Amino acid sequence: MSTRTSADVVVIGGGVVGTAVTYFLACNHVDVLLVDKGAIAGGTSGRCEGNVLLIDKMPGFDCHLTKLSQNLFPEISEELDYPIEWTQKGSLLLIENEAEMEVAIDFCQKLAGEGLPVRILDRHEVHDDAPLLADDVIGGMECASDGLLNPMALAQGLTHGAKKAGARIQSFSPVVDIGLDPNGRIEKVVTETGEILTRQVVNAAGIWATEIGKQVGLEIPITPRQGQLLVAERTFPVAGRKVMEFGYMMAKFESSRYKRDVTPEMEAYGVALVFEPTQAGNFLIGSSRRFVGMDTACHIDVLRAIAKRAIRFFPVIKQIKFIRSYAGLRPYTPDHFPIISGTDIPGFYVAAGHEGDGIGLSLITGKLIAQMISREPLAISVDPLKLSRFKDKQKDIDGFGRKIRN
Amino acid sequence: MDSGEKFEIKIDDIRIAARKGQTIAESLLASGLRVFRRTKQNAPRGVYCGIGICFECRMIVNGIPNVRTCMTPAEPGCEISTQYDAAMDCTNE
Repeated sequence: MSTRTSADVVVIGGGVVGTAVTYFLACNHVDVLLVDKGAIAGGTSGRCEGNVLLIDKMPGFDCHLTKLSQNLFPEISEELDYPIEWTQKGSLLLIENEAEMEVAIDFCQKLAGEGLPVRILDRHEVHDDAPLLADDVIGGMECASDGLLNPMALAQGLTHGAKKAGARIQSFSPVVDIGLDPNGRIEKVVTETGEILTRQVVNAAGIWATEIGKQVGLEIPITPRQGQLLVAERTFPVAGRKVMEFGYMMAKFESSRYKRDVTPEMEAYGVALVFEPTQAGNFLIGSSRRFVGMDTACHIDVLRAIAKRAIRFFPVIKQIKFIRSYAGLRPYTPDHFPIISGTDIPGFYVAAGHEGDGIGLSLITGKLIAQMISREPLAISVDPLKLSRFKDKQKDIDGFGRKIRN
Repeated sequence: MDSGEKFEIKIDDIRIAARKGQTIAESLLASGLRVFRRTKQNAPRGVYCGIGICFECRMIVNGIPNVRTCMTPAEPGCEISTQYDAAMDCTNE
């Protein structure tokens, strides 16, 4: 059965980014149609965590962009007539030793300079904050504005909100082609279920954005990066909010001299503690980082390393049962920034490549793309996020095979 | 079963007899106790599969919640409590 319809804008991808784009476009009274090859939140957004964090952002643009996005969550969670399980209890980074403490103090000062509600916790304070912590943790760093939500619920909530504002949603409609007219402008989006005549397309396909880009001859340097997670049974609160280890931030600072005291497996799989309580009373632990193509299978060696790392910080986890595991593929770009951008093809936009920040940046991404399409002033300059930034260095990122950085 | 060494275990406020080699679930059933935990909706639950698969017989054992009593041997002096929901307010520290 084939259908034919038209829309002012077609958004490709029903994850948190695509649904946010659709939501904000619909709120701007734009005639928008969302297509996805599967279900809403059926890809990366259904296989991740619910981070809306500032604590792991770099001072400057990274911080400013994320802060704009974070500020939108409290109102959106009210605005959407859907429980997205938004909580804003802050986040905590655990500090293992003096070397980390030194870097953390400096980092914390820089983030405070950006106006973020961050502070260093001493030994006493951190153990007060999380009484079940291992005794030898010497301190922590906190960001009070950080929050968590349920990503699948966010995508569903944004979808419902968008529909209410007039958007149309077509799930289970894989895009097979994007047709251009003789002048090189977008003419139509062809899906397995029919044709949509349109002049504007937003590619929010995440790890599949590269394939969608090829349909109009664009190179989009996104590589899937796998992360595995474990789900614990519902039980007493091991900690009341997001907890991570500062050691994993050290990699972000490129301080290659510093080596965490971890096993070779943890090193190889890029394992670092991430703890996330859920509203139902379960908790998630991660994390791992590996380039393994489109493989979403969990591997016992990786899961074991993740569990061991979690037990190192919270020994009580040894007594808690894990009931599920899952792996998600995050859309990695060579410079770790997303692509929120117009392109050389008039009417073709890209909103993808958020790697581990897709949930946190979903709202600002949606807002920015809606502002671009509605020709409104942008909430923040998106120059650092342009697709064209990869062009000049295309050779350097050949195959995107940059060394895996743990 | 009657041959094992006899001892007492504590379940909530009462003491019951157990024998060496028995699981906690067996000791409870032998004493006529059938409600091991209550669900979020306060419905009673007890032994169902008896082989560690169904997780219905979970109780708090020596402060640890969600212990499958059908898989856990009774030990002299062990303290067991009926578990309410997922025992969210329980830590063994």
